[in-house]
Amino acid sequence: MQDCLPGPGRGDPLSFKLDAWIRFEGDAEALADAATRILDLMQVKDEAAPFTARLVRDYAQRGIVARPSRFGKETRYGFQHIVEFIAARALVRDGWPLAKIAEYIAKAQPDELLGLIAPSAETPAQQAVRAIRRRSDVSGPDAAGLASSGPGVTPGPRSGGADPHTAARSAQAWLAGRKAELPALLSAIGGSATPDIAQTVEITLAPDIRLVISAHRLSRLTAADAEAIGRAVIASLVGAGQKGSR
Amino acid sequence: MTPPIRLSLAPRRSALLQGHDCELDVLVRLVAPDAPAELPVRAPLNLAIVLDRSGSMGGRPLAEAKRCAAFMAAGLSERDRVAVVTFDDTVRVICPSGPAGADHRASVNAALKAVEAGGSTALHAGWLAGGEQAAAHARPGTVSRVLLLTDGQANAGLTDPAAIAADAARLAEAGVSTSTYGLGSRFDEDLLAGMARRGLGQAYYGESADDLMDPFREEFDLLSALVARSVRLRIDCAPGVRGEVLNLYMTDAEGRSVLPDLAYGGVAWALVRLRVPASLAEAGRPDLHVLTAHASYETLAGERRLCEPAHLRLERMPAQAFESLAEDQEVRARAQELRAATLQEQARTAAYQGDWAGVTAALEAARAEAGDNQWVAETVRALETFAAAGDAARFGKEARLKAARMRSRLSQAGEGADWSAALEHDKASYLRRKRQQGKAFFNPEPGGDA
Repeated sequence: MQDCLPGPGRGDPLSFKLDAWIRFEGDAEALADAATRILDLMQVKDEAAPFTARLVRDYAQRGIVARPSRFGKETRYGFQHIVEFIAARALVRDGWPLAKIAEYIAKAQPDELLGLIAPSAETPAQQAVRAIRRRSDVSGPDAAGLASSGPGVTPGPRSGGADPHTAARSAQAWLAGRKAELPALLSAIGGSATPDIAQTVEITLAPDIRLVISAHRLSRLTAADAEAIGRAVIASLVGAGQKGSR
Repeated sequence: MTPPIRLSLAPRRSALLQGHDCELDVLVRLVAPDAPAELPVRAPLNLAIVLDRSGSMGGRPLAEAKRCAAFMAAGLSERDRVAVVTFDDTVRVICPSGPAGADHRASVNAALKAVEAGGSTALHAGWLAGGEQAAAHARPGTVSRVLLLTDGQANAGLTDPAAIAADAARLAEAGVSTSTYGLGSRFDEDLLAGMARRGLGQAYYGESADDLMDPFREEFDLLSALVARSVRLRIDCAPGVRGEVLNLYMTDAEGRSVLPDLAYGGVAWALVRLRVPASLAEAGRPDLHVLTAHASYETLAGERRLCEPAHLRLERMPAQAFESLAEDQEVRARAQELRAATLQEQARTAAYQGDWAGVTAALEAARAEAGDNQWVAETVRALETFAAAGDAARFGKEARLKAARMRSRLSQAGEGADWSAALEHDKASYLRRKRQQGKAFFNPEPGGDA
């Protein structure tokens, strides 16, 4: 069982740095060793550890980790393979079937996989909620129930396949929904707090679009935070845009 | 600091029948101290109240649900946190989790006022959004819980009761428990009872909107009076002796029974049925050690404590002496109640199959086997009124949730076969044995706070 006692006794995932492996290159055996060592450092217990080259090759065969590059007879795995492998193990421990894991990892953003590996300063309960949500997201039609409008709940409009009338109506409904949830979303990302102006980072996305965020917040940003902020930005742009057009 | 929890054992009869295979019930008790004159500061509560606002809740049920949510919020302080989530086919966090000071309580009330009835029932998604609100603040030393109120069945999103209950178990293991509140006669009692059982919270229901406030008060009293949480019990039987916990408690990864959280004046208990083979009950040997109980719990500050282990040794007696031994009334009453719980569930199955003769037979058996147990007798009487009306839905709810209560509740020390409304009246609300689970203990005045 994975140790999920919070508090100082636990391996602090924040102090854990994957950076040491960022230039990793090696064969299946080297990847297995690296992954074993990383889980050890994170104090995560995995019943398949220590991992074997055979398991790595099996995951590559199943498409769970990407195919390694080849130099003649030699196979080379890199950092991304480590991330995929460790993320896959986290999902196995969550009880996912391997086929689903391959499907999920193929579609996942790199940040999402990193989030799986180093779950930041989340409480065990937050990790549980995220695991439940992850499972619901790939379990087919049942995921419809999670298409809802609270912070951290709403997926954006999905592309493709919809009939144009329905799409127009749902786009309208979607806009209205985003506007309605703005107060809750702002509050969910800490909107009432006073930003520390002395320590802000300005990210220029385009000459006329700049994102300003406190350096402290940026350094602690999780994938879920980034997603919530993204949605709040959409909601505020939609709100301001509509006012402007009136 | 609160005094420690005491672990004790009581056999139904304090001996073994010499030379025979013996079956013996042993009551394992974890006794909380009585409430001090002035309650110490309770652990901070971290609550997420999740309200069903599907179409069927329209009118009085929703109004009463909102009043119950407002009541819970009103009892909180700056040290506590509360969030409010509503769901129909969509989930809305109408009030994100915040410290429950006067300002936040005011915004909870304002948000509740704006809630109107809507569409279908995305129960799992609503529950999960509530879980997420509580999860961010579920630190050791807080009591984190989702309170889910619904009048219907999950019909949008994840709807499989077993899968939903498994998620509730997972969240509970991670520190956020789930209590459920059913309303009326259409909710899915298996789903709600299962979520509360596996979610390590309480399963309540109200037959009507008038009955809804009573369980909210009870839960508030319980949470305010907690002394120990995460109570675990392990029974080690002597070689050759077999033992079985009859309460159907959840077990943890180490195979220990998960007992209810303990509150002042309460007893968390398990009834163990022991089977001792005749070979161990032979005459002429010294007292036989039959079992040792180990228990541990967490204080409100989040420290794990071990109870002093309790050992049971029994002497072997010839038939005549054994028969003359008096039975322990408390052990006997708990055994009768667990048996009644099983029979109520049988009656419930029969009711849903339209087999009312089967219902009558099961209720008769419960009455007969309960003997002088007045609480069971009252329970059977209440169920008979539903049976007489041929109302399977209401019968099923009362039977299921009363059975759950009889199996997993805090008793009061020394509680035997006697029961009367007056007797229950003087107890803390969370220790009361109600005649009917779905009825308010007091007749509330409509819209009043009495």
